[in-house]
Amino acid sequence: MGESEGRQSSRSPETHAEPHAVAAVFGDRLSLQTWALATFDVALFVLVTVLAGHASGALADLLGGLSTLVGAAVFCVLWALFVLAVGWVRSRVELSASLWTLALHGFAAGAMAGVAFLSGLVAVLAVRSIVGGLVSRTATLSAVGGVALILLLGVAVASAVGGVIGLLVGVLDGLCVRLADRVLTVSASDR
Amino acid sequence: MGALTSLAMRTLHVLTVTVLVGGSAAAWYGYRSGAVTGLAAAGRFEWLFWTGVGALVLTGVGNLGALGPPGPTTDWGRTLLVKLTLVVALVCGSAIRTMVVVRAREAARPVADGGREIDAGQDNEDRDSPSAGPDNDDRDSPSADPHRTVLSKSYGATTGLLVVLVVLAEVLAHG
Repeated sequence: MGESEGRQSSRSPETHAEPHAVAAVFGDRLSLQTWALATFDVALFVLVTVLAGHASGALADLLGGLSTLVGAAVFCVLWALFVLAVGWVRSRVELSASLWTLALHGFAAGAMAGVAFLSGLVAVLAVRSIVGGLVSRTATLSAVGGVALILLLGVAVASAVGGVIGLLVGVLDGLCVRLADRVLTVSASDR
Repeated sequence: MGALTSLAMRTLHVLTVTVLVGGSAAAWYGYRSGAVTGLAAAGRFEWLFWTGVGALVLTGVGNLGALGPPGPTTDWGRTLLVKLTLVVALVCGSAIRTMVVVRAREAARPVADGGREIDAGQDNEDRDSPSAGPDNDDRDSPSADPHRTVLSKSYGATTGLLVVLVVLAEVLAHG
């Protein structure tokens, strides 16, 4: 388990199979598997959240406070974080490794992504807060103190939430690969 | 500004669906008829497909926010619930389909020099270069042909589900 089930090769063949336009932007760092699974994960995450919000009747409130551009920016940040998280996991373990291994790596990647998301959020809010403080000549020190407190408490929450999401996503991605292998096996045996 | 952003979101949403339905239908017909036999075409389409899915979710949620969706107990709300559930099914099924393409390509990996992998950069050039020509597909064909039926069915199901989603979107937009 663990690294023993890790990557046999750091350069899988489809890692280099991206079209030239994508390769020009990401070089060799992004593979179809990473791109597809990360997009699958972020799409599922958002869809399940929206579905749950709609089913509970809270969707209008949930989306009401978010402008279209801010919502789009948040989605793009989430998308990028999922790509980085899936890429990080894939650089360490094969997706055919045990689900337990994938869950642990997914938890670690998710926790890091959660903290990164929170850090970005706090950074944006902090800039606004500090600039506001400077303009209105209120105590900037208290604004910084507030930000630090939020960051301290938020890191624990964000890493836990991100970790749980990463764990689920890691298992889900592993199951996708297993199902695909099953489909190919059945397809080959039908010939 | 807000109205313009909403219009841009709706336009991108419709254009993306057009690309996904057209691309899936073309892939289905290509693999079904045998006009396409290689895995390279599927690999390229999967890049486009997932980029489109990301754009669809982004613009779809943006549209919902702009509309201010009514509660789930209304007819509109129930239709939206069905549509969202089908989108989840589409995304999950497509993830498995893409992994089938990825794993089949891995299985078709050419080896040379006593098992040493062919230079991956060259492999990329051969597989995905627009100038690679029909030889590209020919090289994939020994392993792609066995999977033609699977790919044909997968893209067919994807197209069917996308068309159902388009119909539901029409119902949501026009009743």
